[in-house]
Amino acid sequence: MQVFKTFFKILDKQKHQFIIYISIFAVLLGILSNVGGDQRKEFQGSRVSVMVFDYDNSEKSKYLMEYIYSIHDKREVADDREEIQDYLYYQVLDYVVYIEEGYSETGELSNIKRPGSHSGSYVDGQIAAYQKAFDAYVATGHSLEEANEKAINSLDSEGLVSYKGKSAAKPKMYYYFTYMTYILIMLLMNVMAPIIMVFNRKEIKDKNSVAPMTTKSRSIQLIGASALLSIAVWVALIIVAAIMFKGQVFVGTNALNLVSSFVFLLLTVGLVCIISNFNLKAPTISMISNIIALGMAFLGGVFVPMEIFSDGILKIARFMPTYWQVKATESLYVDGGLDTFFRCVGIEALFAVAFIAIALVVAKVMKQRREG
Amino acid sequence: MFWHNFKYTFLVTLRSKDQIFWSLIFTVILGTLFYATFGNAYAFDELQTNIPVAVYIEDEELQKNFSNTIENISIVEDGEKLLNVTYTSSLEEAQDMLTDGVLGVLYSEDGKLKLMVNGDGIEESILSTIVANYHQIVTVMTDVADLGPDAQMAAMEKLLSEEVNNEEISLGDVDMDVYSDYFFNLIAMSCLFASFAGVSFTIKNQANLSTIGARKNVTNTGGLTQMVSGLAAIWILLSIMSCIALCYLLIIGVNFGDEIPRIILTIFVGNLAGLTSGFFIGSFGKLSEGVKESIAVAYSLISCFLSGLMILDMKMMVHLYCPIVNKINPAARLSDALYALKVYDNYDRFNENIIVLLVMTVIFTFGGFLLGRRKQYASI
Repeated sequence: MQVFKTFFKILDKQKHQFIIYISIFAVLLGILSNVGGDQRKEFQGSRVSVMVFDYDNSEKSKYLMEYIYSIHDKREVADDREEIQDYLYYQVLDYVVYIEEGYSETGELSNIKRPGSHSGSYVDGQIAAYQKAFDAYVATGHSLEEANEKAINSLDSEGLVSYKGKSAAKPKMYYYFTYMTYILIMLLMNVMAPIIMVFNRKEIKDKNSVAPMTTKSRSIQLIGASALLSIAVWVALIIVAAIMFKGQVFVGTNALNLVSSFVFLLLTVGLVCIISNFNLKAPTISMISNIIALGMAFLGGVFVPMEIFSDGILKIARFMPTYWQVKATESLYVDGGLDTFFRCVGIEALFAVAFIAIALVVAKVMKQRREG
Repeated sequence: MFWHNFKYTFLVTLRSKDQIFWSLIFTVILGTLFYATFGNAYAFDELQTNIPVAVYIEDEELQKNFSNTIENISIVEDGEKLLNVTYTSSLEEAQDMLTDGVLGVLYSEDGKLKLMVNGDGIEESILSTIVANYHQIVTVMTDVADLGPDAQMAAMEKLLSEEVNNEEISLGDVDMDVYSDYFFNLIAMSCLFASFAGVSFTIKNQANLSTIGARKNVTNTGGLTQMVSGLAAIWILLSIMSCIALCYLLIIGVNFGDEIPRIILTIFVGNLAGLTSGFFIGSFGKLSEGVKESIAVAYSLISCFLSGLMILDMKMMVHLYCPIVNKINPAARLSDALYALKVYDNYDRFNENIIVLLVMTVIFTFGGFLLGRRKQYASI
């Protein structure tokens, strides 16, 4: 068990770095997942962020303001053009309504929105529809209160819109298990690859080759230690998920995330094995891990929704294992089903097999080069 | 001796693959990746026409009325239709199309027009507004049906009125492409990665942490001269690297605005802040090189994460829930300086960001010198 023990002795020497890495990534994972929202069961229409400035302060203006806030989310912002511009730019605010003084007489409003945006024209349409209905009821002799009530009632589309599949809103757990791909690649490449590389160093390899231990035994111990470390990292991240989601990760279809993330762990280990065959220094590993992890996260649709990808990029994305992890997780919560889930996990498993095969080929080539 | 040190630190850093990688190659690779990924991202939020819908309406009267409504729905520009309608012969056929690119199915049930969707994005919401508006006309007209023909006429006139009293206030000629922020953060990251060079340089000046540090400590050149000349050389080289990365991004078509000289100033100030932060981390205590490097990685990675390198609206979320973090986060200050240059006509906000970064630089530099000065190595 000398190799096995040495593996963990090296890890112990790097424990400060390991603790720093795992702490950063656990915090990142926690924050990243909380950026995601909760799943909705009913179609509610898109709720965008709006702010209403009521400079009329009349009964009619109050009804309009109440209606807008009932169908959209209020985003507090000062009536300051620079601040509004910042909020619109960063898309935390979509629409600003100014109810002008004298609105009850003239019906005049003004608005600020991102020019030519979907969300802007959507709110435009809703306000216009409410005003038309309100005016129609007032014109037919209804009081302002009645007109408001009936106008809202006439716009109520409850029961008129249904989902064919599941809601498109993604739960926090979706984000956790997709972002976990980035964290796994970064963690294992920066922590595990440098340890394996120590054993692959020429002088260490030469020394080991004359030791009274078979190559088979040495390899088995190294594989065992690597497997233990990678499983420990995976278990730690699952425990974080179990705490964050109060045990829900083990319930129903959520438990399938454990399967897909475990298969992803295997392919990450394969990737680490490929890298470990090269005699690289720690900073170089950091460079490679950053390019691979960020590249896969962006191109695989982890950090950005795939809907914004052009067709060409979408074709490239299919070659990213992260793409299949995102698709597998999506099939559990948004669109697809168990068939899609297992197909995606199957493709991930193929990636794992391919990476391990490549790692073995590279190891053999490197060995031949050393001996040749 | 200053220029001698300056020259050789410059050459050593130029030959250091690590530093060139982080300041130039990594930024170029990530920039290319961002550009390929977000090339058409902003168009995603722009109003689109021809939203694909499948329609199956069994009720003949409803079909006649609604077909007219659909024909009338068009957006103002170029007279293009809002909807791209496919009529189907059965509801099942229409539903099957939902998984095949169609965003909504309009169908009739119990004499009502209904919608089936597969998501709840803005396009689906616009479709639901069409259904709701149709339902609204029917509801209002039913409500006023008992009030006589005059009331019905008055109600219909209001409902079909084209008059719009909701004027859009123009923001001027402002580029609202939020995806530019990824590139601002990329430049910020390139600047903060100078902290790695700061750590490495400081360790190479500490006799107890590196052999070259031990040799430097017994020379007759003062510590201050060695530090200042070395840091200046690294600063200028890494700033040039970041500027080359900026040129590349401009060539591939990233829009940083027209204020190129001020953008270059931001890069130089950002690299100075990044480098001195590394100098401060490197001077801190007797921690090993690996631990100090990990701290520099954590510092730059977390700063960039909080300013939105990975999640676009992160900086605004931080602004909303913990604004102090954005005020002291160098990456957020750097990306905000670039944002202010692109979006605002005046330089107030840009100047504020640059001043704060310079203050940070002064604090890091003095902190580094205080921690590293007058060290005696009795035994190494």
